Amino acid sequence: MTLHVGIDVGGTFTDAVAVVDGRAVRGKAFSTKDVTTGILDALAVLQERAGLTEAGFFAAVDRFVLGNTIVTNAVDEQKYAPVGLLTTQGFRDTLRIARSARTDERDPHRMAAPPDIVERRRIVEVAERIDAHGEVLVPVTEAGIAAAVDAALAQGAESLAVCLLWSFRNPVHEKAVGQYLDKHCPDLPYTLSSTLTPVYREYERMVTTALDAAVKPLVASHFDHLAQELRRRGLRTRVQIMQVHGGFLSVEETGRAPISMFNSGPVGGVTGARLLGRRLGRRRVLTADMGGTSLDAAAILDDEFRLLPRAEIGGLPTSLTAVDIETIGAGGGSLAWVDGRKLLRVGPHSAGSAPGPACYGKGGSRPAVTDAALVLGLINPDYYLGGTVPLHTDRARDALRTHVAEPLGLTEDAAAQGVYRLATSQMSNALRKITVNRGHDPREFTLVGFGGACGLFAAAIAAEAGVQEVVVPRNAAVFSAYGLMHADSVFSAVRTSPWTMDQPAAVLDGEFAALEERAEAWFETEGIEEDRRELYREADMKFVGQIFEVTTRLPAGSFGEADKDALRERFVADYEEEFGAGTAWSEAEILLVNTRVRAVGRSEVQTTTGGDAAAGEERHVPGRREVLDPLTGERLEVDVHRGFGALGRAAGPCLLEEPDTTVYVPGGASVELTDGGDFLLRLADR
Amino acid sequence: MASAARALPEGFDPVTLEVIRMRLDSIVEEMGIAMIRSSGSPVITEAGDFNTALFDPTGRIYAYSDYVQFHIGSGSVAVQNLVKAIEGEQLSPGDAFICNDPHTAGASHPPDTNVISPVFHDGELIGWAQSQAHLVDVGGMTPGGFAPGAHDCYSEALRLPPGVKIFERGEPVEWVRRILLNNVRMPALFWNDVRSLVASNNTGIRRLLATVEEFGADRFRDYTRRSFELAEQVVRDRIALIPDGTYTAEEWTEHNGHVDELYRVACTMTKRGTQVTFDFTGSSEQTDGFVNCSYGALVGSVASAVVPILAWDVPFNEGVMTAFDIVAEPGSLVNPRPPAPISNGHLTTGARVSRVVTKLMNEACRGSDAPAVRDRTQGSWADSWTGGISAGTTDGGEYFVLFNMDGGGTGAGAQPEADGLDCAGMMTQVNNMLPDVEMNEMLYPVLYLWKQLSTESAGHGAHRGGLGLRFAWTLHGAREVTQTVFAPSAQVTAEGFGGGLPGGGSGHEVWRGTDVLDAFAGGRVPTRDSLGAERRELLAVNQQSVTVRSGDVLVQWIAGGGGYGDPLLRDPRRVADDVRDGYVTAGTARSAYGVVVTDGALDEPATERARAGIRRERLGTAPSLDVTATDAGASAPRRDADGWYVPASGARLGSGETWHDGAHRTTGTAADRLAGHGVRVRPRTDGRRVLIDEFYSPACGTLLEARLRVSTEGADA
Repeated sequence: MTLHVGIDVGGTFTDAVAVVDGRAVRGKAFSTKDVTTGILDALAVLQERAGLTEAGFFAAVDRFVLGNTIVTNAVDEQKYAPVGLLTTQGFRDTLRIARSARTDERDPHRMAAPPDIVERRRIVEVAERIDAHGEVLVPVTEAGIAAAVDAALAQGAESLAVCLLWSFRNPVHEKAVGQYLDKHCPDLPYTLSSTLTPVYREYERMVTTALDAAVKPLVASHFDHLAQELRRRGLRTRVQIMQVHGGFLSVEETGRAPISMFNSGPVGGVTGARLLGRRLGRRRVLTADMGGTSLDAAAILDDEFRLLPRAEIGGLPTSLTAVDIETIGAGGGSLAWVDGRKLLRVGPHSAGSAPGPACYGKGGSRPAVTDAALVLGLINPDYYLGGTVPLHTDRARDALRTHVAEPLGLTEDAAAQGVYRLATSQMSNALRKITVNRGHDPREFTLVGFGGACGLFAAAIAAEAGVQEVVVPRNAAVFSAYGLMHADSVFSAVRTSPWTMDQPAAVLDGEFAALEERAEAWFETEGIEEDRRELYREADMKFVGQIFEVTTRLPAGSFGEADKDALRERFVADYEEEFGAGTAWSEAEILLVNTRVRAVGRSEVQTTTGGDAAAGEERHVPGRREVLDPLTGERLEVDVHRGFGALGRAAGPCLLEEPDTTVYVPGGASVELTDGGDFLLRLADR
Repeated sequence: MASAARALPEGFDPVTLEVIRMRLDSIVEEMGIAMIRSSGSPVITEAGDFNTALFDPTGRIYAYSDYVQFHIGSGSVAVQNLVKAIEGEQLSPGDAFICNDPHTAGASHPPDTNVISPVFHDGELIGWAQSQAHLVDVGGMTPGGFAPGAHDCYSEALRLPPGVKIFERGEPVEWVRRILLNNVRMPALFWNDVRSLVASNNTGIRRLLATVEEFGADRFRDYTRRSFELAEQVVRDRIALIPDGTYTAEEWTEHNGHVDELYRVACTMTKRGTQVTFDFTGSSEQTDGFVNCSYGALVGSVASAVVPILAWDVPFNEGVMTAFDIVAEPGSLVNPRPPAPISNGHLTTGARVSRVVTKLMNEACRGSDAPAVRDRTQGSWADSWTGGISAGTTDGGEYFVLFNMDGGGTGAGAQPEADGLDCAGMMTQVNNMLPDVEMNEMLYPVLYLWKQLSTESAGHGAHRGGLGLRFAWTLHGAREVTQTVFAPSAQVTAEGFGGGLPGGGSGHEVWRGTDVLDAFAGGRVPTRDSLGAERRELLAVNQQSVTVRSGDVLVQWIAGGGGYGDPLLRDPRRVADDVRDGYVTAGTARSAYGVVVTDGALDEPATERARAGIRRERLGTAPSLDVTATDAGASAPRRDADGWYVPASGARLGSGETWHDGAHRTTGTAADRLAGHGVRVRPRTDGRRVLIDEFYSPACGTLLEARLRVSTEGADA
């Protein structure tokens, strides 16, 4: 028996998917504060559905991948350990200056500095200085280190971040601090910026380092608890943790740099969509993950998602490279309101999970996007999340009437339609941004829409963005967990090491070789077999004089003098792909800034079906319901299909009601079942 | 409902209107991203000193990106003047025009270079895409385009008027390109940035055309026109809540590059019904130094101030500005004619325009019956973008110009419910960014010794003004540089509101012949306190051709924002936190806030005694009324049916035209008085003096207002 498990711990639900000998089962439980209980609850559901005993289940698990929001929540709620920060003499205010905390906010009442990660009294300057070339101007002394560490500890630091100027160029001073700490404070968690993220720009590096040190104690306690509970139940395989860069690392590696698992849940969805696209033979895939408060969208080109350097965490810029996910504040819980111009707006404020949309009947009185979908008739109030959450249509109507229809002089129906259209319009703008604006034709893409509510909106979003094909996975509500299970293990090592074409190729090759050595060591530690290993060389490059780099992939193997021209051509092509033909600074020198090696252990998990039940076991139950088509404003009676798998094909307008998700197929579109059991919608050409 | 019926006539769909509006906003945002990503200039990528916008065929703004707001004015004037200049000329898709002349093309100053491209749909002109950025060098007598030494605009830069075609049908116009590149110091960088501007416009054109296709040209026109009207309506509704009346205020531009004179920026604001007029008549005549403010920068500076006050939540388009008229006499400091030099008018006089409009709006809004409008009062922003431009040759023989974007570390004014933002940038600098130390040290031969918040910069108050930045660098990899500096607000600083105190000013020194290298050799990192120097040379407010040599240290400090409310109304616990965090010293906590902090802990009884003592000192006698309210606005006098009163204590201030007649007034020299509170303001030694008038409630000793006043020549009061 093979048994693979993927778990996605979200804010409200913990989703779990297992593949037992190629067949998928899924489970859902409420997330808990201690994280572990929610995971164990979800695993209990899986175990039961797989028909196994607890001991039998845990002993059989070959692979266990976890995406979680421990770090995301800690950052959102600013639940940090009392962390100390050591900086270079003269630069104690770097986090506070925040490279100017001014944003695009135009209301001075709302301009505020980002909340402190480190209280200022725990920021201590160290007498030392290294210059831009990595040359030591003022050497650090042990006495200096001791004084700084003591000062931070005296102020109550329980974890230390160390971020000195130019440490990525020459880590000798940070290493000296590390050695001092290992010797004198062996139990104190700490993070060195030159180890975590050896790249330039001290503000991002400091934010990343401080965040990492600030969540380290918390993550360690969660992970220790979880590992203990899982082992006690008989889990033998190691727990793998999803990372922000799209692959996973072992729980031990993650504990060393916990900040890298920030926002790893949405990444699971992207990896799942990539797999789905691969299975359907689609080379260009867009993802739309619609949650309660936001929509996460990403583009996958030729089986690869884009990685974005300098990713943001909780509104703060970091030096992490993350899967490029465009997030906008439009989800099922986004609130509708009327602005000063007497015009309708949707979001970015959200009803969240408590009180939630008005129709939850949990005290929410303001109308959310879900309320609009309910009033339009798209959601069956008795069959929401498989009937587990009863909805109150009257409360949704009241909210829409009071807060939208009356102030605007509209009917309730028109108000609901307006909210739906504005929400879909914002979501489609996000899709346009990652396609049209980057020079891709949306008509060549297939949209994979998931998250519980996305099926109601996916066709409309696609239509407005110019996308003609939509797939709603049957397991849309647990799709991220499913994706996690199929993710690759990925290790990435980066170094800032400037190089220009007039330097010997061997210098650059040496930089890569050093990084590859680390990657090879990682393959060994992780026990990844030879045939699953892949190594990629990447370089962040720019034209001399530019500030930002574009990432270019180098051919595998060693880099010699003869490869320089090909590298230049490749970079220019990548650059023009990003900014448009003719934009390359053809006469400028090229500067290579960062070298990066990505090591990938390919996933070997195979599933044959996406859903619990094979199509043959399903029974088709037809029904009829009146809906207000949000795209045309017409009132229609449409077919409602349950057990669509048994039917296999239908023309819109119609609704598919599945336990996990509801899909709206508008007029002019058609829907069919894929071989994997997912729902494929084709839209009319516009 | 009636209001809805007024807002949208029959046949208009409010949702479509909002969909088109969001699309236009997303297009200008994407233009900005294209510019940042493809640009090589730190001025663009690090400081966001650019703008992108879409205009209708006549030059009205469809949508404007969230970057520097000045260019609402300069971009509009540029497009409108271009339309006039090329009337009757043949235009084609792929054409693009370049301009930078403040006098004829609206630019804020010559480095702000505009590229404007026509947008055609089915052969018809449907609008303009406009992108503007501060280019690192545009020729002229001084590297970097700021010329304190200039006596006319001809010496400042290569002047490009409206109508210079730089791209024709998508191809560069070679002969124009040759002229341009022959006149700038860094031609490769210049041309690359021009390409970025074109790339930004191309992005805008592509997406605008797709949008017009989607909605149809006629509908697009109708809905965007309606969008203008709706934005205008919100602003007019808010203006209606301000009492009708005439308000006057003044600010001062300091030092024209040649002489340390003060130049008056006067404004009379008249509010009638739903219309506001800003009349700058009475401002100084234009001068022969670089502080004259172009008409485009004037309009942009007014917009920079009024948009956050009255339209903070309205998606920006032309309609937002329709309710404001601007009057400025030709030949004056705020609407100069050639040959007036103009290369720093926007950061000096323009910034004073933003400040004078802030003060006028404070006076107008405080009298409103509507709390939402009354709450738009605030401490003045420092608006003192402090310049440091260094040009020289590295030890490796490479010519460089460091245009130091640290200058944007200027503090925001305190707000009714919060302290001002530290290092916020100017009011106009939405999305302001400062460079990393590693960025400047990597690109230029400098080594920073410190870069920190300046505790001598914030205006004290119940809410504190935002802090400015202070920093110092020494050359590292170059023998010497030629340095230009300017400190727009050094002597007449940002005022507070309702008893909040003024902030500190900007300034610069060269510490000559320091022991920095000896310190390094001895294993020490020199600090502000420990760095030794042969002498500290105080530089003029604006100065060029300063030689900074190896071993010298350039020290700059930047102004902070004005406070809000009497400092004695600040929560003592917050003051104690400020002391612990190093925002204020224990001495300043005692003198300005009457808060006693001993060993990091708040001493409450001693604080109570100290505050009582300060109130007595202010009046010269014991107050007769206690202060009961403590919210930050409680020290700003208000009016009821019986006349003026102080909300903090209920003390009455009479029923005159203004409450000032009923207040106890003291006058002192601003620099001395503020130095007593640990705030650094450059003293004036010649000519006009800068005074501070403080008005107290005679009954409770509350500070009601602290106003800066410039004396008539040499006089004392």
